[in-house]
Amino acid sequence: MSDTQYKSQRKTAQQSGQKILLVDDSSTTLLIEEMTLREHTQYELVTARDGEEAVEKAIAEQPNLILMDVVMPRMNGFEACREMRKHEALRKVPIIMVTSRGESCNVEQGFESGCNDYVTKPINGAELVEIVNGYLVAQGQSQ
Amino acid sequence: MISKPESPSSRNIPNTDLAGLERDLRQLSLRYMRQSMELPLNHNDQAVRAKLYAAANALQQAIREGMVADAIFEIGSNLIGCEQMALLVTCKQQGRVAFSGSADFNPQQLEAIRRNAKRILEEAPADSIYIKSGPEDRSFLSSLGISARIPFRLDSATKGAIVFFNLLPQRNGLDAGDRELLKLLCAYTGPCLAANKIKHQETSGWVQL
Repeated sequence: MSDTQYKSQRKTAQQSGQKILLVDDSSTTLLIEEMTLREHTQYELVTARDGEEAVEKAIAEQPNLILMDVVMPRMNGFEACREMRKHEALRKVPIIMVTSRGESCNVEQGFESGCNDYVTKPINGAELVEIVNGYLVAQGQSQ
Repeated sequence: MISKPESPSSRNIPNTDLAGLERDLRQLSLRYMRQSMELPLNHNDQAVRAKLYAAANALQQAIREGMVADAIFEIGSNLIGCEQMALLVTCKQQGRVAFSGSADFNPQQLEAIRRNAKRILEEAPADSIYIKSGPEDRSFLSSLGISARIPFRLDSATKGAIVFFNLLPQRNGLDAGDRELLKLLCAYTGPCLAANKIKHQETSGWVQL
């Protein structure tokens, strides 16, 4: 993606005032996700450190997209995803799983729990912005 | 593949006192953050700078909390893509090796580490970073399933190594960006563990092999 395309998507996001919930118990992953999205997009960011906190924040904050780790304490990403889908307001919110293991069994388990997409660790900034923009720019244009 | 243990920061020998080391790592982490933010996302080096920023930040946070080993496992797992890691430390005078590992080893792997700990530390040459060169690598370290070995020194008598075993399935091998991270670990693991010990006299979770 070219710089011009990034800037154009950034502007669209800024106009739409969309919000992303980032969920990960890894401080390094969360740091990279936050830095990348703050610098290269204008989305509002909210964070949570485990599945239970993620469900609470998702209900309270009503994000436009959720980026969530799989392996976490208290409640894992798949369980949190299933829990979120029980709430009417969160049923259509795109959930992207961040997984250490990209094998098909893990990916299938993610889709069964209700997630829309996945990215694998280590996080790649360009891939992250592209997938997030892919969902949010389309969502912003349809509103 | 062997490389000398130099790092972007090894031109200056890292501080070993807690406050000095924290200051060094904070400055380093800010420098990497600025570099990462200045580069466009599609630049090859952007992701590398972002990972170096996160790694330096993790080490800086960990030294005061006494969690350096955990920070190294966190860096390996989330920034490099390896969930099987070991820290080995040997003292020349006592001739014993201490081990701390991530949770993902099976009993056979643990036994292989126990039996070969000294040789893992001394092989290929001992003061250089070893990175497995690919499937054709027939070295002793590769035969144990080691993807990388990063040497470090705690003091003149005590040396150690971070050992990365099997990478996650999505990683085919370690690249130039990973090498930068390994250099950072090579330069800072020893001073961080040493500074950690200043505050935490007993290092918990370590097993004598």
